[in-house]
Amino acid sequence: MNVKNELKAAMWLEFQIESNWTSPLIFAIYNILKPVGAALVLVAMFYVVVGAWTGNSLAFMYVGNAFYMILAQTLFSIGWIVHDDREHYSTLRYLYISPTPYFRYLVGRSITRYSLSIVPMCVLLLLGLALKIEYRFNLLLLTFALILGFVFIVGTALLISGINLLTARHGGAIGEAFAGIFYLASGVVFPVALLPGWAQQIALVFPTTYWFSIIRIAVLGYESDKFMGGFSVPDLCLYLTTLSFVYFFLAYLLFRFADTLARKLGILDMSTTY
Amino acid sequence: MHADAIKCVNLSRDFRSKGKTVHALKNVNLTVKKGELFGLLGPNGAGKTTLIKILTTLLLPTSGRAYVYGYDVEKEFRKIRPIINMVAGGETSGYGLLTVFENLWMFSQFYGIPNKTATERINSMLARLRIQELAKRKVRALSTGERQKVNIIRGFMTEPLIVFLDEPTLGLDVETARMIRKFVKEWIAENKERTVLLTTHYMMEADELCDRIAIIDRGKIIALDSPAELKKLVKSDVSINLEIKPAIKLDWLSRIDGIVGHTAAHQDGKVKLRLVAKDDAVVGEVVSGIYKENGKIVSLHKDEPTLEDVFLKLTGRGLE
Amino acid sequence: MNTVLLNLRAIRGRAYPRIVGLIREPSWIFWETVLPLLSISAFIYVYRSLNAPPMYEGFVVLGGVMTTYWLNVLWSMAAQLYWEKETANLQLYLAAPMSKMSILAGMAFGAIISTTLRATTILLLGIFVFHVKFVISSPLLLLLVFVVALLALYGMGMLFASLYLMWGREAWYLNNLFQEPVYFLSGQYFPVKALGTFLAAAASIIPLTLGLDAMRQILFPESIPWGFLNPWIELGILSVLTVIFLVAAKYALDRIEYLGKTKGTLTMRWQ
Repeated sequence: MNVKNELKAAMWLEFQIESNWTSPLIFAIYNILKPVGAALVLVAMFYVVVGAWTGNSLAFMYVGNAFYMILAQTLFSIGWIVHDDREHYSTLRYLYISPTPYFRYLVGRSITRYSLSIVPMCVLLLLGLALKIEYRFNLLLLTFALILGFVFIVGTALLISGINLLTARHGGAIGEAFAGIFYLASGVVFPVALLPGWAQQIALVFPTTYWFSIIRIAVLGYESDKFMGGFSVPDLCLYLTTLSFVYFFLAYLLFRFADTLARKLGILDMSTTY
Repeated sequence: MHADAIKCVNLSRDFRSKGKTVHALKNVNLTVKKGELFGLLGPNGAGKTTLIKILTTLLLPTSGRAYVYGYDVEKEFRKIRPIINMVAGGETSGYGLLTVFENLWMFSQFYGIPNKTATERINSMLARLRIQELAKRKVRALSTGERQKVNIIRGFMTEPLIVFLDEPTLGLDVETARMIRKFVKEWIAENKERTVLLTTHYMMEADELCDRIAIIDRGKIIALDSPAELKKLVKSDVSINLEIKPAIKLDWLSRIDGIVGHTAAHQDGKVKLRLVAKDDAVVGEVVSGIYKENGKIVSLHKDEPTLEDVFLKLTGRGLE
Repeated sequence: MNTVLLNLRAIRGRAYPRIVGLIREPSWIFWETVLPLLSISAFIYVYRSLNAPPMYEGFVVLGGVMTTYWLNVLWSMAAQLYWEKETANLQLYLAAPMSKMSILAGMAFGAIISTTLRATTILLLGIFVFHVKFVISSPLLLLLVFVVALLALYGMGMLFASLYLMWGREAWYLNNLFQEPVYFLSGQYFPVKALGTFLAAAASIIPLTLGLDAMRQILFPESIPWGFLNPWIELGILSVLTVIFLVAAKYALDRIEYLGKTKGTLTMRWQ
């Protein structure tokens, strides 16, 4: 089997698992309602303080949140795969001994989840018109960001999967919890400039910080975060590209390490539910 | 107390899926007496597990009635649950991060057994099945055989009046399976009130353990008696084992008069054939048929009739 | 056998793996305590970016504390019976003589212990890192609201556990679906009154909504103008909700057990 077919099979599986539990209509609602709920929390927070339904700060957090949903939903979904394969469907061992590397299987499933998450993001942008958010799209820059976004999001998914190979299944949604790191440190819903100095330096290590800055420029036409405003667009693109690939490579190495360690410890098909 | 441990009256169960109906049990009538070790013998998909699920109060019949210790499984299931337990083969019950002892203790709590009693029973049964050293090991680190011994303890430690064993030795090594069979035999012999209903598709197991056996096929009980009486059904027949090389076609066998049934197992380029025939006379015809197919007979011998032969005679098919 | 004793032992039995699991699988501290703290911190920064008064940061901490219980109800209660079915434990639970409510209560008891630890961490973060100041105007009322809100919340979790068992795999997705919309409707990080009377009243079916609203008023007296109802009335409604959820959970569990036995789905995996 070639790489294309392997990825296709994994993508198909992800789509089946994500969608075949219900009708297409309910699936569409499901896919959209969660991000809308998250956006409404922010809108309400803005309203109780400012007393209005529109403003620049709202545009900042609304757009950041809409694109964060791609990250959060992909990681949420991928964060369950190892535990599901290991303890729910009991297929992890069979996937491991198949000729398709488990890493490639995870990438395939991430492609589907990432693509599915773009739809609710578009719906959110559309709903943003009701909040009088003025969009000035730069489609080239946006496409560039979405492609690079996939690289580091899959990298993070691999990292989480590696950790999951070594840890127990707990109740919560661990992928989403992991996404919280970026939510706080990457200027998603508030400017990085508000973070303490040491936290700003950490923010610069994450590709997401540059990603969200590029997203704002590509969607709103400006960057209102004073800290990130110091970067030119070519610089942002350069940092995003470099960090995304470095990040992916490191995540891949960590996944391989976790994979080897899990087999060494004999815990690849352990059962940990409690 | 009622005389019968289990009683099924015209018991049927259908499963409906996507417009299709599967008749898993068809008008089953069955009585198991207290103190009996009763076997349900049948191939996969015969309805054995469905019957066990109904009797253990996990599934309702589509029609008919079933009683456990005189209690109706449909209406009086709360009275049944304290007096039964069940163990299935290949089961992975409990929580992997708990030790063997902790898992067993947890299940004992669901039956309200006081701590001290639970501890005594668990320790005594661990010793009896020679796995005391596993008490502090996490369940997820057990081998298949060890896990099944723990399941057996889980099923018996609550001192039920009836234990349902669903293929309890499935996939186990010879030694572990033997130990479990021995345990079950001893357990039932200790107290006349105790009853076991065992499902299996291993005829040797049914033959060795059971006082009476019901042979079940496609949801119907097709024979019910003691193993010795059941084997009398094929007493006048001849059972012949043949090993043929290479693995030739055998569809012509059904055209030979006098053959009651046959099973064939293909393995390593050979075919192991078991024939049940009305008499020896068919042997010549079978041998010449094999030569016609360019087969070579590696071995041929007559055998004592088994329960599998009974099944073969009744259904024309093998148990596997 | 004494039924009360049987069920108390069953509760203890099912709570045990939950509590032991916390010690044996400490990775939960990272996933369920450290990481959620990050998103709570982010929401505090959102208010700071809007130059909101400090009280609003307190709303986030309080919302964060109560949300840990909500998430726990969703993932460790509501989805749990479905998971037990998938791991083949459910049939053993069903065939055992104790009330199935004891299994749910045991799960809830174990879960509350772990979640309280997590909620305390969030509270400490709020106090020591973000310097949130709470003014406990009525300790007794606060305690009553907190306890009754938890009872109602876990009662709701018990009800969901039964329903999810019937819905099968959809349960997992419903959990995911319920998260954010409930954050919004319950006024997780903002006063629910902002949603308007009609929406806030409708959202009061979620125990989190009135629980949070009452506690906000008790802990931050300057937020009283933002209060939806009087905290005592909210306590009364929460008490009624607790009874309704527990009774409904018992009914649903019996009903679903019956339906499962009729359809043969109680022991059928991967559906």
